[in-house]
Amino acid sequence: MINLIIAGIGGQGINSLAKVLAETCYQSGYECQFTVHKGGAQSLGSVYAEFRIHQGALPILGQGIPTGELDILIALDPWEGLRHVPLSRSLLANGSKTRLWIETQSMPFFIERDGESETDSQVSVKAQLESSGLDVNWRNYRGDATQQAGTAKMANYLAGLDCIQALKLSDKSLYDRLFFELVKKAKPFKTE
Amino acid sequence: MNKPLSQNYSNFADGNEAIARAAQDSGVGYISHYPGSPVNRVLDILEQDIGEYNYVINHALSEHIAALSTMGASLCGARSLLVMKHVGLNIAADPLNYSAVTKIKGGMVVVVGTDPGARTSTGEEDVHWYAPQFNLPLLEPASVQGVYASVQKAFQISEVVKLPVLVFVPGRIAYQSSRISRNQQKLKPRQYKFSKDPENLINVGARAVKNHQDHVLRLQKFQKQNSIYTTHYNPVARYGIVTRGATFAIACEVIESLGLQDKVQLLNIELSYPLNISPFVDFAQNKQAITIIEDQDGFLETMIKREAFGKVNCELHGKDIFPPWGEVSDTQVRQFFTKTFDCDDKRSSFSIDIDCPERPGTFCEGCPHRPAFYAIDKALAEIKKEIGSDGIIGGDIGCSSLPPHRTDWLLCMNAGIGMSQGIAQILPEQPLVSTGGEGSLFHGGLISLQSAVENNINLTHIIFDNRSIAMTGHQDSPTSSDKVDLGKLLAAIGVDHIFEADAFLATKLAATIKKAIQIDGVKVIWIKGDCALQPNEESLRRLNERTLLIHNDQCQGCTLCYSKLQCPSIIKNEEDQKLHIEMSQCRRCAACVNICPNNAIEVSDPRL
Repeated sequence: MINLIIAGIGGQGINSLAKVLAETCYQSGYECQFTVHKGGAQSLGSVYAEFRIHQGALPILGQGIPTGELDILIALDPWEGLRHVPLSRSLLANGSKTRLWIETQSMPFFIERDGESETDSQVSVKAQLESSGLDVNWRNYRGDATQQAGTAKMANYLAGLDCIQALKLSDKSLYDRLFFELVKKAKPFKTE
Repeated sequence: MNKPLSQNYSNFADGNEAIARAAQDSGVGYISHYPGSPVNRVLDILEQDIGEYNYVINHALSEHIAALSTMGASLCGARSLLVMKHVGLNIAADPLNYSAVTKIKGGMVVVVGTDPGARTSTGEEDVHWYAPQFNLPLLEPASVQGVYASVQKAFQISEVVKLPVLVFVPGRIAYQSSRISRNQQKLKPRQYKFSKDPENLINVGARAVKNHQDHVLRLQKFQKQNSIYTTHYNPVARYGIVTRGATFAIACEVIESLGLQDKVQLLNIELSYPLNISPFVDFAQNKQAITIIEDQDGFLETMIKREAFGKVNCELHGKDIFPPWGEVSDTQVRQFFTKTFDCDDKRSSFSIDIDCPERPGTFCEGCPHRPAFYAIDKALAEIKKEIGSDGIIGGDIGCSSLPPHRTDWLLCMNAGIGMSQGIAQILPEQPLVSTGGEGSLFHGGLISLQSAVENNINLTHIIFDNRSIAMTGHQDSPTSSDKVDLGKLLAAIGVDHIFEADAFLATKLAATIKKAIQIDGVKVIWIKGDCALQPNEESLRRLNERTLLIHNDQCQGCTLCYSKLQCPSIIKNEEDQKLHIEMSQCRRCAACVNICPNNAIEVSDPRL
């Protein structure tokens, strides 16, 4: 059983990526269930998708990932990654612990700028993640997507690539095909 | 016609899609609804496929109308589906209280999206108590596949007992996705017909009592003959667990992860009202104690204790262990089992304190509500300077209720225009505006406005007309098309003063609001501005042709655009505190240009 969260904020394409990822898992021989949490807002609020992935028939599983059982966390915003860190596995005897792939640049919090209640700078979130003791892989999804596809909106595609690598789903071409078929607004990447 | 859920792909579906597919596969002929999370996507799916099935959709303007129209279609013999969120059931309660006596003809299924934990709602009201009030059967599926099966079963049950059947789908199942299999029912084509039936449909006096008796007896017979449940794990275990809905899967996962399969037996009840107690009595025979694990108020526990009174001897627990608010969590269930069975949780939990603020979302870039609330604040601040009184802003449901929460309350639909009337009458000297979207206006706001007119209330009501029911997924509102002339409608019901305004011209709008507040009568400010996520032709043109730039040499650092308008596209450089517009986010609405007192924001547009 692998438990995975992909997190971000509204408008970053978490829902689309979740659908692509589920299909990729299934077509790669895994069964999965997932739940997308979007809240009430259309944009800019926390969004995350919880995946329960299993090789073979799924047992009966709760909708959410139990505390202490998160294996992989991929976030398009560092705060949204930090939010789910308490679900992580502690270091187990076999050496496994939760692995994180986290976007470096945080999206601003917009609530009550007038009241100076914006969140602390990203140094703080970075420090919290670094001190967690978990394996943190820092990424520049938004910057790379802007550079390679002309829009930060394609950051979810790059996050998905890390998902399939973390899950050891070897067939990138399957993910590519599904992503560009299922995500209607997807923009092409420059070829390497 | 049993097409795959997603063509060319495997059958992943969330709870919303499972509802829609089950209705399609059950031969549904009529669907009505009022949009609301967590079942906001059901109608999107049904509408996409409307050409492939023989059903009619009524996008009702309130749950009350949706319920009545569904009853009408059912009386003509059509299998009918009614969809709403939990609080919608309050609005639909009046007709649904009558639904049983009509002896509906076509199966009628009422799907209600419940929201323990208030993930997508302003409240987590437990609407289970409506089942005994309406005296209608209630099914509670425990998985996405279960949702599909329950909706299909509900149509069948409904036609047997001639009663609408409720199906409650909690948010965590409505938004959960898994692969489901479908089973299309083969129904003979139906000839719809309305048969006059005064015995059941003229429900008054002695007939009403007789019809009520008939309803109760039908339900009692159904209760005796039917139970829908599953049992799991060790049938001779001394400890019993009872679940319904979303808690079933959580309990199973915890039991199995703690290796307690031999120590407990689990009974999951799908038909939770009316409760046939026989399976529970059998289940309880050899039990020392039973704990009911369910979200919210303890509806199932109450039903079990009512029906099992004097029939079982074991201890019964439920809300003495689990809280009657919020969602029952995995952690709570795990703590219960480890404590009850004195077993170790083999996982060593990860201990970390994090400092991570809530991020609830806000108005999108280019949202018309943002400059509109800027204008309201500005108008009320100017009035306060003149008369010294704080302004009051009545708030309503919908996108206008999103943070930064400019309104003074966020409760139920039409609370803005409704509560404001009482305040206006009690505190006539205090500046006040009530607010609400055009969706709320047509839901119940229009009658509230008419009531203000009839009672000569000095009220200023603001309509945010973004031509879309945006928050629930951009369903059409009456102003999405040209079918209704809102200005004429407001005049026709006697509104004294009607002001039309452009949301993005906030300075002018603030002056209009101030003027409206300071004159007597019922005043409506009709603020127009399309939803940024549903751009019209002009919005798209602006997006392609317009650019904006903050000239920092002209900027005086008042930060109105940043700290008062709070547009997400306006970014402050941490090093030099200068502002700039992030054009990859900007929707080119130019609301910032309008409010800048120093003309420091330049807009370049070939049409200006």
